[in-house]
Amino acid sequence: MNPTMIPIPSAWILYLSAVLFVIGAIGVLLRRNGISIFLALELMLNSANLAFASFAFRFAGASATAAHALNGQIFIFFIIAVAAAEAAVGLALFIAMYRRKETIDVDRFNILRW
Amino acid sequence: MPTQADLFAVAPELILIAGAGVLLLIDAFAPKLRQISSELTLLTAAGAAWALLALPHPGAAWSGMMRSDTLSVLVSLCLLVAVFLCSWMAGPYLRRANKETGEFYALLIFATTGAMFMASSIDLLPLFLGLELLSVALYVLNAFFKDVDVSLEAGLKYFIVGAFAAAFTAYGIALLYGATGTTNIEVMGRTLGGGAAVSPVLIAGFAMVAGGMAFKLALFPFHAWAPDVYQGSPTPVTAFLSVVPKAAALIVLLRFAIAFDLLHMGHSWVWAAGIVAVGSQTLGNIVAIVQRDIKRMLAYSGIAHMGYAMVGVIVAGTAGSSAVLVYIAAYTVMNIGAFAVISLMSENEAEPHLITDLAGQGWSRPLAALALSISMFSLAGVPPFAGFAAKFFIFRSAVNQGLIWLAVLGVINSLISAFYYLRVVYILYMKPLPRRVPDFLRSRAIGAVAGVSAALVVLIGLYPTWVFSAARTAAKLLVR
Repeated sequence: MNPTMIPIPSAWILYLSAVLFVIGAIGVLLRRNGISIFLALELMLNSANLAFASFAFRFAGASATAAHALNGQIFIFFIIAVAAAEAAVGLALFIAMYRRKETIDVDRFNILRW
Repeated sequence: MPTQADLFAVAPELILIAGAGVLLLIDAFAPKLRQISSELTLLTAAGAAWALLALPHPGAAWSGMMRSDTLSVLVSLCLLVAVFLCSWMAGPYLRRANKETGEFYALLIFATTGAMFMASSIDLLPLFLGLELLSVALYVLNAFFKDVDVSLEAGLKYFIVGAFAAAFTAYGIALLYGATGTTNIEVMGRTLGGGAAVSPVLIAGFAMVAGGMAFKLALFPFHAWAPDVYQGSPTPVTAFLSVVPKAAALIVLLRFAIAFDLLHMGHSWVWAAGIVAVGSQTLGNIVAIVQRDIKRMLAYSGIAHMGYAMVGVIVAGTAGSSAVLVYIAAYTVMNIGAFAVISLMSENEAEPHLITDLAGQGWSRPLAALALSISMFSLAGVPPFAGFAAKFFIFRSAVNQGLIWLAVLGVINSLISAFYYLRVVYILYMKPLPRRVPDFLRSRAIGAVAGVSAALVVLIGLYPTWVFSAARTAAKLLVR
């Protein structure tokens, strides 16, 4: 069959979102640079968006479940807005850190330990 | 089509948001009025409490996305008491550091609004937005003293951990949606009750959402952030942080436990949640013993307390839910009481708050020391204080449900915890004043907060049935 005619299975999109989520989680745990951690966090939130989209795509495909599609699609917009709010606060915190420490290496912040 | 009933359902939240807006405007356009920010916050919280108690509660509102009933009233009332007491004690604390601005109070109010949304949502969309409103406001509040290293560090740590947990929650919600086609917890529960197969996607989704909530509750093994964040944050924020997100997250877990009927769904939930609960209690209590900083000690104590509350979530049903509600009420007042005295007995926000600095204060600051002692006795679960009643209801519900091992391990843990709580009382009264007496803050307002909290602790401890009967009415609505 001609590959241009076969739609991408929604499961593939879901797998992609899972892979992105895991990459993001590993990034948060292993990276020490503030901006890298921040990018990894954004990757995690956006992989959730992709998962919502893939499920909504699947629900929209069948007439019995087509009404469910909207629930997930709406959620995506709210997550985008929330991610923006988190970005504003997170970057402000990293700027405040840079002003005091001249670095955004999170390992430099380890006073609270004894 | 939204109706007037929908507006009534969110009236307290609307009043809070309006109050916060006024505070921000004053900050920007009328800086001379800044000194009444604290009073304005108290007025806003009182207004929201009035709306909560006086306006009718329509039950389901906003097309079934939220629920405004006795349960949401009870939890919201605890949250409002918390924000009232925290902003009251924040005034003198901020003034000493010359940091009093309206935005501090506005952020406190926004965080409370988020927690109230979380507690009254049955759809995961407003619940997630409430969670983020609460968290984002708290990131800023933790780092409010941005020229103090420990405060900034607390803010950064809470931000990274909190955003990580929020991403887990969001992905978990996506999986729950994929498995059931809805984001409404009650509709999900009805689908499952209708005999739909439990798919691995659903289990993974629930595990991720529950993990996100466990981060907020600082349950073992998601507790690592708590001691650092508690210690570094300004003390009024620590008091807020130790109570408000936890109350909201407990209600969310309860809603899931009841809608999904987790107790009867299989042994794996009881075992997994039971290990988390007992693990939190044991780890919290044992590590708290070796702490020298009282804020860190209370962080570990908070980990242990959420472990006890988790027992009530596992039991669920009317008995478990009402026990958790009583626990939230008791924990709110006793924890805020303790932190009020700690904010009083500190020299500045950058130094550690050593327990040994309290030596001899029992005789030189008798009233504050008495309030701290009452909080400590209550946290240890000594009758006749609120903490005893709360633990009693939790463990009784576990025994009645046949989960005797959870009750026994919980009681053993409470006995261990008595050691480090009572050591604080011992140091207050039995140790002599040090040669260099620390230069502690003197403030009527903070003293009043400590006094009010201590009075509430004693009141709930002496008449637990008042709270319990209200909690029971609320729990019946939840279970129905």
